[in-house]
Amino acid sequence: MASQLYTLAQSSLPRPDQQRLSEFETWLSDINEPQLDSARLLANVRDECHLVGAGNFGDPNELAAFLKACGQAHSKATSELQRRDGYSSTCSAFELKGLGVEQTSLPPGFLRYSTSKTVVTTLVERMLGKVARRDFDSGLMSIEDAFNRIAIYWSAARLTDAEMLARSNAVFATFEHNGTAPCDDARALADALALPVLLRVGAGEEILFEFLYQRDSVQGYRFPTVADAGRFHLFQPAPEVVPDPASQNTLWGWTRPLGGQQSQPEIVHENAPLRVIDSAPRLVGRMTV
Amino acid sequence: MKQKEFKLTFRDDGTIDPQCIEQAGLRWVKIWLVRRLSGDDPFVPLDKRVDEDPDALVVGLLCDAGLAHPASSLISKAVLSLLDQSAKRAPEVPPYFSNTLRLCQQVRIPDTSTWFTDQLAQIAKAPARAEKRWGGIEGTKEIVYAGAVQAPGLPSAASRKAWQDLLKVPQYATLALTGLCRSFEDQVTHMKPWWRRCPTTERDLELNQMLFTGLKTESEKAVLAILKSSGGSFPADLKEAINRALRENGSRVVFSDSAEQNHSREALWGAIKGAGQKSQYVLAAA
Repeated sequence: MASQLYTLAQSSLPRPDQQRLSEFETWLSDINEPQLDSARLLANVRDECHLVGAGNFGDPNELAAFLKACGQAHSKATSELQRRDGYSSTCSAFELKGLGVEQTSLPPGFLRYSTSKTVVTTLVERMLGKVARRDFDSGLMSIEDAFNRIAIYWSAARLTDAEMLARSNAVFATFEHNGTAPCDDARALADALALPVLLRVGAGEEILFEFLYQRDSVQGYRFPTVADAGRFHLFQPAPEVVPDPASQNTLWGWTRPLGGQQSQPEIVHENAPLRVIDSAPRLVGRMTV
Repeated sequence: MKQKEFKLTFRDDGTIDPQCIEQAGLRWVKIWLVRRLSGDDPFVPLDKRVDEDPDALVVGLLCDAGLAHPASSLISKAVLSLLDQSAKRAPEVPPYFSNTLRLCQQVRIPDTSTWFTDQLAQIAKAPARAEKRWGGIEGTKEIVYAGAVQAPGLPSAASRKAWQDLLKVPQYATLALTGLCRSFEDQVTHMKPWWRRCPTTERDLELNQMLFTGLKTESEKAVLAILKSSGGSFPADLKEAINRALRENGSRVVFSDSAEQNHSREALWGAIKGAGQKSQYVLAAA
């Protein structure tokens, strides 16, 4: 069943836009792509209830604008590629437009998980030098040795403004909470965070590592929305409940965990220079199938 | 561009079946790589939640299929085409250029060897001009890193001279060492000219890593033997730096350390005097 916000937003659109939205949704639910649950993608769009931009909880205007843009981009497209591009660019245009999350409701430390070897390579070069970077890329220096040595020689001052927390404007982050997270098991943690896509790259070569940084060193905390998640069906829109400080579950998003793992808190915030991280990144481990 | 023309297929373990790349043909592989390496793959979306590297899927695919697979050959040709286009458009490099270089820094792409050999020669000949063309030293350095994989300076390689010339350029001296050397023994062979050219702010850090990897990949005994046999003519400051790096990596030192020797002699002298013995005989024996 669609969220109330979706129903309000959809019904606020002029009839031609409703028609275009309907065509877009038919296409979205039928993207023929391996490992993609397109029906879930559509369900997520219809469950969305925090895409309110600068509005308050329950304000349908921003979601209506998003839905209208999805329909229009779809109707202009003349090929499958253009339809995909249309949805991607609409999502990008509506990034970081989830309901704002109160800074004071968030814990002081954020955690971000990444698989990017390019980021590790940069850190290796900054902390250990050029020979180390080459050794890392060629496999002469193991991932474990790289992280150990980065920790030994760590100095955030060696990072420059060119290195960022993420490539995209919206940075997904989580934090410690009352529940538990399998912090030392990369596969289990990836399941808890709903990151199965990692397994596509190649057996055993993927890594998962963790950045720790202060909440106050970044800004623009928001509920993650379908626009932030793009074409990732395992994203889960937050339930349609008015945020209530007395009920922590309502104050931010939660992942849709896999493999029986516990759901983890999830927010997005604006991108920031990598040097906001407090300490050397921690290697969670290698991903194994 | 219709979807039916290009469809990635996956195997049960979630990895891409290279067969589908082969069937797609060069034109489509190029289109896919341009989009993917620009960070905007319409076919296999990049997971921005974890900052998925655009090159990672392609690296995995190449490693998985092996260089002999027709799919790898197509990717190799496509990558060369992307490099050529980037060179034509420089200094306005296209958005896929940096990830194309990242790809070339991790896995062999046979068709690109000549491209990198040419670029290395140009960088060695006129570093400032190359840096202007490739977006400064940071951008140029990325080409050199990739060149170390695609056009290493093996003794018979066409790129050898360029690497040797780069060894004389301070800001590229360390990178030249990575291009010229395949082993710790190679590094020791080139260590003297490298030490002379490398900026002093970098030298200790780089030396430390060379010894770390040397000690990891060879035995301590072998590392010390290589240093001993080739390092006799090293300048005193290089010898001292090597000893420091060895100590830091938990190894015995290889060169007699003059400062340490003096210190030991003084300590021994004090002990002898304190013991009231005839110092000249004991010192001679020591």
